[in-house]
Amino acid sequence: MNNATYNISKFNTFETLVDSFVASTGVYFPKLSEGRNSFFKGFYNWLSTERTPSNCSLITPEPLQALSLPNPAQVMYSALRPILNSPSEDCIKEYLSKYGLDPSISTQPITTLSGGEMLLLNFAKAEAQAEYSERLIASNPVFWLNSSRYHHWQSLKEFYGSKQKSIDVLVLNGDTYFDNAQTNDDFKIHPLEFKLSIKEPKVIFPEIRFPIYHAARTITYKCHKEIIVKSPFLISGDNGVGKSIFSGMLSSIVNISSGDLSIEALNGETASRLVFQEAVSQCFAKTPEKLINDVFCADLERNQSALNVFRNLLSEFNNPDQHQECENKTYTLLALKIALIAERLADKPALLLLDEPGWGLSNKDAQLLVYKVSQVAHDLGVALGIVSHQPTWHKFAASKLTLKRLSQNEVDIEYESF
Amino acid sequence: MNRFNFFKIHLVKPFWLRFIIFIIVGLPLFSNSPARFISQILSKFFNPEFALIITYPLISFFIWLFCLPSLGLKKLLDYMAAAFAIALTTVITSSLLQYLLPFIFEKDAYASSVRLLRLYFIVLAVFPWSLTFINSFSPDSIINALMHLKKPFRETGLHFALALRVFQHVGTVVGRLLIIWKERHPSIIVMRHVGEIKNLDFIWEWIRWLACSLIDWVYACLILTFEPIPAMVNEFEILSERNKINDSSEK
Amino acid sequence: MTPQKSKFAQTALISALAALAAITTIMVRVPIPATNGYFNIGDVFIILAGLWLGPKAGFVVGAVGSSVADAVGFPVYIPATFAVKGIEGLIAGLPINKPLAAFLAAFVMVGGYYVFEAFIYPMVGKQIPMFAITTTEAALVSIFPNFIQGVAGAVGGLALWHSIANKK
Repeated sequence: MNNATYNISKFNTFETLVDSFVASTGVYFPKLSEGRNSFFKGFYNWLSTERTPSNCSLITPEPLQALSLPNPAQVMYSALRPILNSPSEDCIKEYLSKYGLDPSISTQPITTLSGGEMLLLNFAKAEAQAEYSERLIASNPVFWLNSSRYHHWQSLKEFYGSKQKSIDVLVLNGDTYFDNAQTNDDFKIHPLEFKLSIKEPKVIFPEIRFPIYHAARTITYKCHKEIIVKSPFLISGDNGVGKSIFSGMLSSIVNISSGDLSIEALNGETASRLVFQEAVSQCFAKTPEKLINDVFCADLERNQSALNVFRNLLSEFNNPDQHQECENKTYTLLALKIALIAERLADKPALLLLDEPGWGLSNKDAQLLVYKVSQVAHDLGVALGIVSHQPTWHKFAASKLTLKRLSQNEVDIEYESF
Repeated sequence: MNRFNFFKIHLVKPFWLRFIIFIIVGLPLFSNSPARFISQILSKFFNPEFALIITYPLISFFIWLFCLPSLGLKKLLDYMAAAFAIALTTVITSSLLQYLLPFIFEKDAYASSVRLLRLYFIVLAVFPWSLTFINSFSPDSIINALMHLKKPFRETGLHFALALRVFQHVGTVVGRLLIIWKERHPSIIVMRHVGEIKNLDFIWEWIRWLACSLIDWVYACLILTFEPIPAMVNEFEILSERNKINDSSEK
Repeated sequence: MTPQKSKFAQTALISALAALAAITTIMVRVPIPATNGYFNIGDVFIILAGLWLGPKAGFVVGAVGSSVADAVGFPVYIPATFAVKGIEGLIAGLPINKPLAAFLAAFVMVGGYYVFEAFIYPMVGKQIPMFAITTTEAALVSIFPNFIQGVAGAVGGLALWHSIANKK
């Protein structure tokens, strides 16, 4: 008799999703967004408590967390060893290929993979573990994937089904793949224009040999043009194509080795700011408001302006108080994201880039956030860019830059105005 | 194949041969004998004092040449720049201290100067040599080999693999925090926004900001370092249990 | 599988603190020219490891973490660091009053480096050039920065231990 079940649980916030994940797996996942004290208390309790290791295959809320060995070959070797005793290199590469991963990444450090590649590696690992795992518990299993790669999840699901193993999926409400719920599409675009100059920028990542060998890598954006970009715009492309690196170059965080990439707003401003995708790791302060106060400790005018933007944006959401400091938790991921955006907007750059703004938010919250930010940014004369492979964001964009891989080290950029 | 591959020490296999070559090349850093031997040969052509003085630059030059194919010119120059900075600060400040606090240093000024000169070139050689050495022995391959062994080495291999993964993770955490910080404060040790605050007020705000930033950095490092540890540990516990089950079924 | 306190958790934590000690030591380096050594803040994590995880963990974090840092640029100091920082972590982990253990560890670190720089290295340096980098007199100069480093490490380590581990 087939006892395999397939359950999908939906959550409104990242915090409740993680709580449920911890409850069903028995594996402790500290929530960074609950603040320092809560984090250390939870960690201390975890360390001092006796426990039984969970025997489920896991796709964790952040894909990197389930990859506990230094490179993909070792991850797959460990996962396959209980069933194959001494898995060969070819066998490992076969698993990687099945999930759309280039076998050449097998000796690459885990930490150099893109979010999508990490998730696909988790799929390959989960398949290898299917024989001896009790079930598969997957959190946001397609979030980091380009829609052309959704079928890999389907393959994994079918594989578990064929082994009569249960699958529990935990997703945030409005997930593009698991939830067909339509949100309000009545969004008004607030257009703004700026000049983008691309002159074949090239980035070189040097070779690293310690503690793990990492070959030198270059990415050249084979494009030579000046474009008048309509804001809000979308930076899109396949997994691992170099979207985050491109946005890093645009905001001068990633150094360009040769060529040039620059922007110029109509008012002559050339600076751009970036909100990274994993907002939680950007908190250097106890609370979002303290973060703003710390950044602007010597600039009271901007401090006030950032706090106003923060409070106004937060008030647009239901129960804004639940996102801020209270007795049991310090803040939520949403509040932190808003604080990071408010801090950057107060700087009045020419361009604000949001890298995967939907990460950790329900579709409804993510869309409302981006819509409200686009309004505020327009009022301040700041252009807005969204870096994502998610099709959801098309309706917010007046134009799109699509990154397409030409070869392993070369990427083309296409511009399209809607 | 690159024609310089033959000279690339990190490609030499097996690893023990690589180790022996490193020790032989670095011998002047471990023993006085090679330097004495070279200066004796040179003294046949030059004044003995001059021969002694040029021996160490020659040794440093030889070690740089040895490191060059493996590191590449850019990396070698980076290491040499750091080595020169350390060597210069060391020698200049030592000379200064020697002048200011003569009672705690050697009485013979000439001997002391030769000692500083020798130290200068030793630092210039030691720095690139040690970094090439570290870069040529990746613990990754050692751990890989351990994991393929039979128990109890496999269990030890798992502990090593976890330790290495954590080291790798901490490296990424610090790097990522640095990038995030640089985005917020491009000058790193001065805040991005200074507004209208000037002079003394600014200095006071800056000190306060720097102290708070340092504390926040330490906490951010710790939090992000510890964050994935429970999940990693859970996975290693499962791997270890599975190994035990496999081992017992093999008996 | 029976519930247990995991040895892997210990390995992971010790590695994490050793890596933090190594990285902070490498990142914040103020050279002390007289002895060719340098001032750093890695002691914070060594003392934290001792206070939190006990003497063995303290020893490993101190010895391994700091030696890895020395391997990047100051390999000559590896033997001294392995012994001195290892003992520093070990003493911080002794089952005595925590502040006392932290400051005792810091003072032992200052004394340990003085012994190495003033006596052991000059003696060994007569045979091995790499170690001829300091003299008995110059070692005196490094006592003050080492003292500051030790006290800062003890204060920082105690503060971190209080907020991380003292959660009973």
